[in-house]
Amino acid sequence: MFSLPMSPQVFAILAALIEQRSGVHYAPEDRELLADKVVPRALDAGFDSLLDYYYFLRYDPAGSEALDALVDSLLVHETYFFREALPLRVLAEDLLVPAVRAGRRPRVWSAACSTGEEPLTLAMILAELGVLDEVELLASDLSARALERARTGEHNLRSLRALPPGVEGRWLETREGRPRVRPELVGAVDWRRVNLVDASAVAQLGTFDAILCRNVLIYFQDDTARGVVSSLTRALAPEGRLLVGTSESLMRFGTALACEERRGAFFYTKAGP
Amino acid sequence: MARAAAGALSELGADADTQILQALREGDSLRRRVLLPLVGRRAAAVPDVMSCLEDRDASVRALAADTLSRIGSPAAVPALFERLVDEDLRVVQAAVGAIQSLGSDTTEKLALQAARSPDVRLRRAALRIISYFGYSKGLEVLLQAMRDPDERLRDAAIYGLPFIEDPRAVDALLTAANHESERTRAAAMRALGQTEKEARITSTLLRGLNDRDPWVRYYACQALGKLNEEAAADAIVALADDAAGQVRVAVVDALAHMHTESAMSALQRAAASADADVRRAALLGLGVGRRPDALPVLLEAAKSEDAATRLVALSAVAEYEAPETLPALLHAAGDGDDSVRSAAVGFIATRPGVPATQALVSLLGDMTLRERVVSALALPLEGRLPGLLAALEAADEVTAPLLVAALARMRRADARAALMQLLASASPAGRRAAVPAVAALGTLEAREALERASNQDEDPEVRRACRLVLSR
Ligand SMILES: C[S@@+](CC[C@H](N)C(=O)[O-])C[C@H]1O[C@@H](n2cnc3c(N)ncnc32)[C@H](O)[C@@H]1O
Repeated sequence: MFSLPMSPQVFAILAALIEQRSGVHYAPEDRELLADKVVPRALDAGFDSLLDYYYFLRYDPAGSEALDALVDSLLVHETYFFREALPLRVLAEDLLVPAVRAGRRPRVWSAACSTGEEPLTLAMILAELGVLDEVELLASDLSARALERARTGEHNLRSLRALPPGVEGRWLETREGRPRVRPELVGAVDWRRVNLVDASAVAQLGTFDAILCRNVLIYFQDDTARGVVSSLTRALAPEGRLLVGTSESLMRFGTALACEERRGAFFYTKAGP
Repeated sequence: MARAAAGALSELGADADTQILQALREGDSLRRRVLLPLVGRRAAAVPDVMSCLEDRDASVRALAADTLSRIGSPAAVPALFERLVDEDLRVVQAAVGAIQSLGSDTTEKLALQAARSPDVRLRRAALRIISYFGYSKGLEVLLQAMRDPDERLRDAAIYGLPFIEDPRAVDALLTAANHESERTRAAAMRALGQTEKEARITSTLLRGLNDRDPWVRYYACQALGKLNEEAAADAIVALADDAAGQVRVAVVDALAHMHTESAMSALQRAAASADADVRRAALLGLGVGRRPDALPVLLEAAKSEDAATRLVALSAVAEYEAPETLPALLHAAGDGDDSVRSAAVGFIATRPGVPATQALVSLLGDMTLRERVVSALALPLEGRLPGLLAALEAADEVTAPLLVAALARMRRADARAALMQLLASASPAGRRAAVPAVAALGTLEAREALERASNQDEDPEVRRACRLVLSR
């Protein structure tokens, strides 16, 4: 009696609770994967039935925090520097630099930044172009754990697997086997915890000239993704750009944004004023 | 992939085993992780698997414990006890599981010894093992642990007491039910639900219903339900509007065990509650009783807006042997939610009878379910063979090979005979699909049947297919 069985019924209600909190969807084949994460937590909290543990997450005053921790342990934080870098370059060169030249201070939001490699890549590109100080960078994720790592500027070696030449030594250096990003880059980003499925939290962030929402919609069901895309659309300034992952497409969701190609990179653009 | 590899290796037999053990000895964690599940059930493997209990990768250590339990070698028990202090909880869990499933002459002694260790984690694990086997000599250590300041240790002791047959164990539980710590009181209520009904237990549980801590109320409710204490029904119903959600749910759960009319009508009311969890608990409860008057409520709930509720209702419906059951399950197999769909197929899969087989056949058109449906059709349940044969009489190009695959996977004499029969009775597509499967039987009769068909079948494609396999 040291491991707890997860029936399809309990799987369904737990998965629904997790989906409601984070948007992340679990298919029936993920039952064991979920059980692996949930069972030790349930046992540790003193429960010997997963249904009891579910009621704890759902109703106990301490349940909400425990659910956050559980969700955090389930999130996939896979990311690396200069992942799908072309759209970031095009965004910086074709849109952000001209905006700065025009005397504006554009705002960019990396909306599922994981451990920070994506916004820091953009920061490196902007620094290279000499406009880092003129662009406002916000980066957020649901995972408190990932954000904590991002704020330290410390990464792991796997995050360097697509690093172009000239970055190491200039924008980051590896000490004792740990890549560290230059503090001024880490400091140029405003790191926050934001849940993308919480439309009111998104609305509070103001409007942006560009939003990066890459490799996260894939974890959501269509309805959830549609909801997230529409709150992101509301958070775009007129002519603002939404960037999704190269393998993702908004076509399925019938978005109000227009798909636009620039030098091989794709953007979803909001109509002008 | 791993399963396919395992299948291939088990056919290779002892030779492959020797090679696997050799590779385990080399000590590479990654390879060990892949190979441990493939180790055959042979005593000769035990020393090498045991050495994996010391791997630096925790998942290998846990896997090694699982493997030892699978091989079934009690000689590994002392080494498994060493792992009860592993820094990784999964390893401890796997070691406890293995010790419990292996049993051995030394287990009792080792467990009692570990239960006196100064290491709290080791003691806790030891208490679990003692409880599992219900060692009567363990009573002393359990009672001692009950007085320990460590809350979790007390939990573990309380958990085990119901499994020890001795009136002192119940006395200790009743004392714990008055403990100053909420957690301990809650654990005691939960454990009382595992005992035999007794007046003093019931009155303690009834008092628990009024505890100020919601989890104590929760477990008191649950325990009264488990003990089927119908005299407590009114006291339980009185908590239906408790401020704590988990208590409201426990009320419903407890009522489900009781067969009084008032309990039944309270359950029916709960099935229409605004709180989804109360509703689901009621549906689960209604299903447990399998009362005919609950079925309409369950069928209605199987159409609920909320997918998790549909699934819970459906699993209750699946418990019934009613004419409405199969159509409801079949309908759910086309649900928009993948969990509901997959559960529905699972429920149909385990139902015997020709109609269930026909229902499965009708689902073969759904690409997303196909693989699961074929596996379900291959389960050798009553009604499968006649159902498959009948379906093959009219099967088309798409379904025929799937139906034949199901028959071939059954690996039973009557299924093999049925395959042969197909060459005479199935539709042209069915006969064509049967040819390679019959050839694979490799028997003299199979060859003769193919030769006959290669000359006499009225369908030229069937004749051609027969000649092709015969020429190989
Ligand atoms: C695979 S990473 C993608 C990182 C980065 N955007 C990239 O493309 O490399 C996905 C991230 O989405 C985050 N995430 C998942 N659900 C979220 C939600 N509801 N709100 C915000 N972030 C979420 C996860 O914590 C994870 O860090």
